[in-house]
Amino acid sequence: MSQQNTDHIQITHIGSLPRPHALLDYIKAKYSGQSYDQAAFLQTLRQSVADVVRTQAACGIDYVTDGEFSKPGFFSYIQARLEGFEPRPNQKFTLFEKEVTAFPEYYEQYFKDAMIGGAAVKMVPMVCVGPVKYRGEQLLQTDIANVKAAAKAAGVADDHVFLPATAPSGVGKNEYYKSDEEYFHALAAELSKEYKAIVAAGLLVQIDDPFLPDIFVDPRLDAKQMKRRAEIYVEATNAALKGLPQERVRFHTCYGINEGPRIYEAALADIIRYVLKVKAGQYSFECANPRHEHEYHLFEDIKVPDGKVLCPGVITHASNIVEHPQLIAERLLRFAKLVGRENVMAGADCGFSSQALYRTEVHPTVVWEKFKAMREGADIASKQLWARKKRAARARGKAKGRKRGRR
Amino acid sequence: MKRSTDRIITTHAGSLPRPDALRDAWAKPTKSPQEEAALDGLLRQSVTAVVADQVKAGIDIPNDGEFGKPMRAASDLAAWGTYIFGRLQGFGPTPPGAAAPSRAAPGQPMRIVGDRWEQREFAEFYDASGMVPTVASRPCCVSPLSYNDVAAAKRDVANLKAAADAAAVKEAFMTSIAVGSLEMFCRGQDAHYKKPEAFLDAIAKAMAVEYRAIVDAGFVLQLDDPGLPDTWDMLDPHPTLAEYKRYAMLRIEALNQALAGIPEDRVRYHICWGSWHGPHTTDLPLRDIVDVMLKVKAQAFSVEAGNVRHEHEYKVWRDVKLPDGKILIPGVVSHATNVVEHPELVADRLVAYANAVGRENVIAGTDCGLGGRVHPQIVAAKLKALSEGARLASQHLWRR
Repeated sequence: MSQQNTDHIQITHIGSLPRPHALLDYIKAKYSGQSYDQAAFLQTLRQSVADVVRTQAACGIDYVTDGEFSKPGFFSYIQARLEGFEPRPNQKFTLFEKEVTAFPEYYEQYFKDAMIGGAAVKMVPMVCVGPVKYRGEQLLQTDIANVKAAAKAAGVADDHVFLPATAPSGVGKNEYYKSDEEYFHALAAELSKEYKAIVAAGLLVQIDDPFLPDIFVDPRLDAKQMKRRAEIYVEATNAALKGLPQERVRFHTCYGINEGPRIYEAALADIIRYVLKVKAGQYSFECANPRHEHEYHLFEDIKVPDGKVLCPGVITHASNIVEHPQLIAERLLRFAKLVGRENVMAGADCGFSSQALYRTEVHPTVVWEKFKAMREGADIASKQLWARKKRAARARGKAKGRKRGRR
Repeated sequence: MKRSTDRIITTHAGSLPRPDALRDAWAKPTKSPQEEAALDGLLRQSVTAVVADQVKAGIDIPNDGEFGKPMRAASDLAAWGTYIFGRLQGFGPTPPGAAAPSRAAPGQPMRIVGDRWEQREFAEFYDASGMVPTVASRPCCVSPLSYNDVAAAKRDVANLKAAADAAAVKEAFMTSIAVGSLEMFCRGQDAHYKKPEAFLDAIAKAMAVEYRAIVDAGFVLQLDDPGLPDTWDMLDPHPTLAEYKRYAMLRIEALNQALAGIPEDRVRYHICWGSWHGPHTTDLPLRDIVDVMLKVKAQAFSVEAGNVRHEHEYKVWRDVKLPDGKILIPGVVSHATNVVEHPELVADRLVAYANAVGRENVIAGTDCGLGGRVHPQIVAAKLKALSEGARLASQHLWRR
């Protein structure tokens, strides 16, 4: 079933949500090798997913998910599901180099407790040292079963449920395969098992790829290398998506940092041509923060292929101020005007707890308020977008009537 | 007052990050004469530097960064208001029974209370964030009010004058707390006058001294009046809009009385909805209070427009006519996020205002003071984005 709108703007979000502390206690124990009660963990997980799906539905979210509740982080979760990797605890993540170099004091403070600094499970860089093999079937089936049961209880159809999964670019560095190209394609072949299982279960799969935009601010790459790397990412993702109906796939990009100056980030203009090559039916990107809000102008010049849906962020994940519904409506109307009302889904910039955190940047109660604001904003926009047509139809009817009268 | 005649000019809402040394000097509780002299020198130097920095960042109408208003911690959000209690006589510790309650007892008349309505709605968020000031920290009026520390006001204007001259700045502004906001700041705690009208009248008479000093020194006076929109969320029992407008109008009349004799074109008026990073869901819409705001005898009006709760309010000006000759200063970069606004977005926002009220009636500003609210390095980046965005908007609006 297509994700296009028929008579109103549909709304969704990007996946992760603040996890209940009781659940975080289990996740922390599990990933730090402490003993924990597995049955109690699974019961808490099941119940937490049921609760969070119900709350999303109550806020009026059309496409719901499990909040990534079972996962320690939106990409680090995959480590448990792949063979061929080795942790390198002494290696540092080299992320956002230009940005952090430009604002060292700010980021020193920020990363202390935000993002990976606040993660309940310490993140460790992984390196590929052997053949990649997917071994996540059971973990994935647990996620699928939990979210389907939760959706059923909340009265949400399976085809309105999505599960996020990391793109091939999000796993780790290669030391085993001869070339990066070979490595990413090996990953794609294995990750496709996860993507396919999600779609086979009747759900939508969302491919998370914040690493694609990162290419364009990597100080070690020149323009040609950037282009090639982006092509490799897209080719690998498409290889992994091969055979899946595009309308069951959402592709999400974002920029890594939540709240910071974010001056050194790729522009949507840099990445859009690669994004649109991904064989997905829907594209999600940031558009609700002051660094990227203006980028809707891009679609004044770029044509989105027929049948594709844009899912711009209209609420943001890095600020506790609740977007005014009128502003959300305005953001949606801009897109509708450019790409057609049936091709816009309201989304968030990014997840609200990309890592499992005890203290998320946006407080859970504020997240729900943002969801409600998004519903209200989408309804305001829908009213304008669909009423206009009705009015026009009425006007046409009247005109016909007059003509007939004259005759 | 300078206006945008051939391009969109820039200013900001006032507070800028204080140098560490200045903050430390202000933070010392008792100062020896030597320390006082050192503070004087440091203040003078710091103001000179901050005016030069603003000019360098492309700010057309700079100020002293509010450096003369003591900020004692890096994230002090209250310096815009606390400074005045060092300058006025008549405020002191709150006597028993005079403290504003957290909430109104049933049957009591409407008054400012400690717990804002939004804070009640998001109690868990505020518990977790620990950013709510207590009523106990607010002073109380305990004896007749008078403006006592004229020397402090004189020091401020002298420092700004010297700094502006050194940087060849023709027009600079200086902030001062508005009458209603002073009452709001002390949460209406008044054990002396006992009647709002008398209390407001006394505040107006005292504050007129500072307003006059700023204008007499040749600066544009900026009245900081977050109280106009924000007291809405502090009154208990909650007023109807009509009741609130009457309440607000009384404060505006007192303010206008304090402005008597000051030409309108030397005054700009700043409102905001409180600068803490909260949900702000109960903010009074600008549309509901705009007519009251326009009653202030000022030429320019500075409003929030650069955050997700107020960004859409440029549309208010499609329906409400900005009176002839008046100027709007929309906030096109915000104190409310560490994300630096993209210059293209700043330009979009300015063009939206220019389309609504005319390009010559728009000055680019900030939502609220940036000092203490975002990291100093980010403040610098935001001011740069502001002037770059104004340049892009000017290009578009004047078709260059």
